[in-house]
Amino acid sequence: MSLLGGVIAALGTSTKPVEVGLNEAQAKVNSYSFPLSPPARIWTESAGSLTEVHSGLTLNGSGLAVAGVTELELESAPEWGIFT
Amino acid sequence: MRSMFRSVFAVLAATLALGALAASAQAATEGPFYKVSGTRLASGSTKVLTGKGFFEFANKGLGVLVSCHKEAFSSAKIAGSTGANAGTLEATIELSECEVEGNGPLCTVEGGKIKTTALKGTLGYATSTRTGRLLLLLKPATGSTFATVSSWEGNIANGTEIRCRS
Repeated sequence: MSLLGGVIAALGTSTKPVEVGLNEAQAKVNSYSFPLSPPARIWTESAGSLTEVHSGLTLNGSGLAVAGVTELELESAPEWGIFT
Repeated sequence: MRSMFRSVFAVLAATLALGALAASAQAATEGPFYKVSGTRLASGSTKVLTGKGFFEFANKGLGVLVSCHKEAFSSAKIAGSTGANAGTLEATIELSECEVEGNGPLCTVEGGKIKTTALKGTLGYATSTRTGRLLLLLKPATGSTFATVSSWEGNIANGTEIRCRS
């Protein structure tokens, strides 16, 4: 049985979201999470152009709701972060 | 004296409101990108990544919930970018201690484990104006299969195979 598609996670947590100009900082551990109402689309940038991408996870053609929190760490760097 | 306090308070409130407005309207110019130890991770540069957490997915219509209490990354790394290009990552995610709820008491994920295919992550924005939350798109590096669940439709109880509802 296959899960098809992709997921869109929000960087940071519900209590400390990472937004443009907000909580853009370096730390040893960074995280992403799935909000209660997860975004169904994202704009990714390549060579200065933004592309809108829709994504969602499906099983047997039915949409799945996802939840969770993941903590990310780099093996060789004391601090890192995501910036704009 | 009271009116002076009111005036000072009003000015402070207005200043804070303007600040909040400015912050909420702030737009990015490029990226999002990774910064490591104070320096932007350049295009072609990678760093090995580890990840841990938990992951759940649910079919609300069927009332089925799969909860994986452990999550680990393998073959994972972030990749840098230059200019107006987004940072990316690669990872295969191994989910374990997975349980199924709402699909029959004997319904399980085989071995309690689910492994994703090789995934590609791309950083991005929540809006077309480069404002708001920063997001991560995680999707299969090739094809459309995110993960294959080995078998959550086969349990043996008293010699009889029990099929889960889905």
